[in-house]
Amino acid sequence: MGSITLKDVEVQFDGKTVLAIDDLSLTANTIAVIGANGSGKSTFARLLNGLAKPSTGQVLVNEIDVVTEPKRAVSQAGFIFSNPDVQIVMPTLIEDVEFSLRSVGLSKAEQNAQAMAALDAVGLKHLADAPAQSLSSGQKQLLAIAAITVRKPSLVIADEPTALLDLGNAKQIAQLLLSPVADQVVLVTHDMKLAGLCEVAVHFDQGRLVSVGAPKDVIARYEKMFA
Amino acid sequence: MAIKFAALVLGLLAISIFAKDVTSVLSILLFAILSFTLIGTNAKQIFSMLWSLKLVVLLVLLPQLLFMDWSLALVNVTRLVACILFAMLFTSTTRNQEILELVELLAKPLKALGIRPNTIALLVAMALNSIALLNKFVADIREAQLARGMKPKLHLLVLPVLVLSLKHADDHAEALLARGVEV
Repeated sequence: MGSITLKDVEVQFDGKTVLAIDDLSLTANTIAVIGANGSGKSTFARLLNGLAKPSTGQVLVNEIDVVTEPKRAVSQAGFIFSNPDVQIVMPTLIEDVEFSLRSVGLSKAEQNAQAMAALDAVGLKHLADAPAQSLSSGQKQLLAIAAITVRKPSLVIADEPTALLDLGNAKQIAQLLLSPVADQVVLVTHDMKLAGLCEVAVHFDQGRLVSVGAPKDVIARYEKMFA
Repeated sequence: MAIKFAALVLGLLAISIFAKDVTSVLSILLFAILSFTLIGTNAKQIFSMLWSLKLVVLLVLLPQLLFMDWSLALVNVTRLVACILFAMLFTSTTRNQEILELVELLAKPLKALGIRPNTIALLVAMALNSIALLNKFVADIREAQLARGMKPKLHLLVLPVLVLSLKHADDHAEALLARGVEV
């Protein structure tokens, strides 16, 4: 079971506080993060693997401090962006997934076998040698998931992973992420149906934590704000 | 792989130094074309590959025709085309990953200057990957301009492609950091 703990965290950009969390502890397997644009959800997600640094306070993921131990923090957390194009590094699918395993210390044959298994898990094995840029957006997002999960991270953070996808692809990505693909999955989303499938939901508004709890209640409160 | 690359380099050097008459360069060109058939490339694909070199051929051939004998110009251009075909044969029969490992190997001496060989290999990988992406940016911008009733022109593409590329570079750098890549 994974754990995320934030204590007295404040994130500032250009002297302006964009996120402030006094105390938050999350141990659920699947966590939805909801809120309006600019509410601080993405900043919260990026804090969890060190892409954003807190100006003050402490962020612990599985008891690892993301500020003092950035390498461990990155290695235990996989991050999936909403635009899959930015995540592709290598020209073909198999090479892109193998790229994630370069520093793990496996033989080439082991890297290839694990990468193939990861592609198989997302249904892209038959396209292993195809050019990654020739894929559809949904397939690219599946490739990103394979490239992240092949390292078996304990935490997977997905920042609006279904934002650019059609209904079918979005459903497939959601099912895959919530299977769940790691001990803990954090989903930043505007899709309330998807948020409702998580065990816990966290709602941010104007950089403040508004509520944490059962998705049904948290979503109802969020939707009330726009009623 | 290193042997294959060494053979390519030595082969290209040999062509450049020893192939000096029309018969020998044409034979080498024919050999290069036949080599492609051995890896399953059909006649149509070979023709389209040769056609894609038209600009290079023209750029090299025209100035030479102005200043030297036509047969010498023909030898030079045929030699160049043969060399390009052999290089294409090498890349199409070698996995990108293997090419990157070779780049890493060749860049090892740069370690003494504080440059990481794997950073060089990563740059090459990203450059290979960017070709398709740049094409996509150009297509997207052309479509957006057409949708707004503009006639797409080359000079109107430059700035948006540059802006998109810079934005992509920022996002890509972040994604690399998230994947634990150190540069």
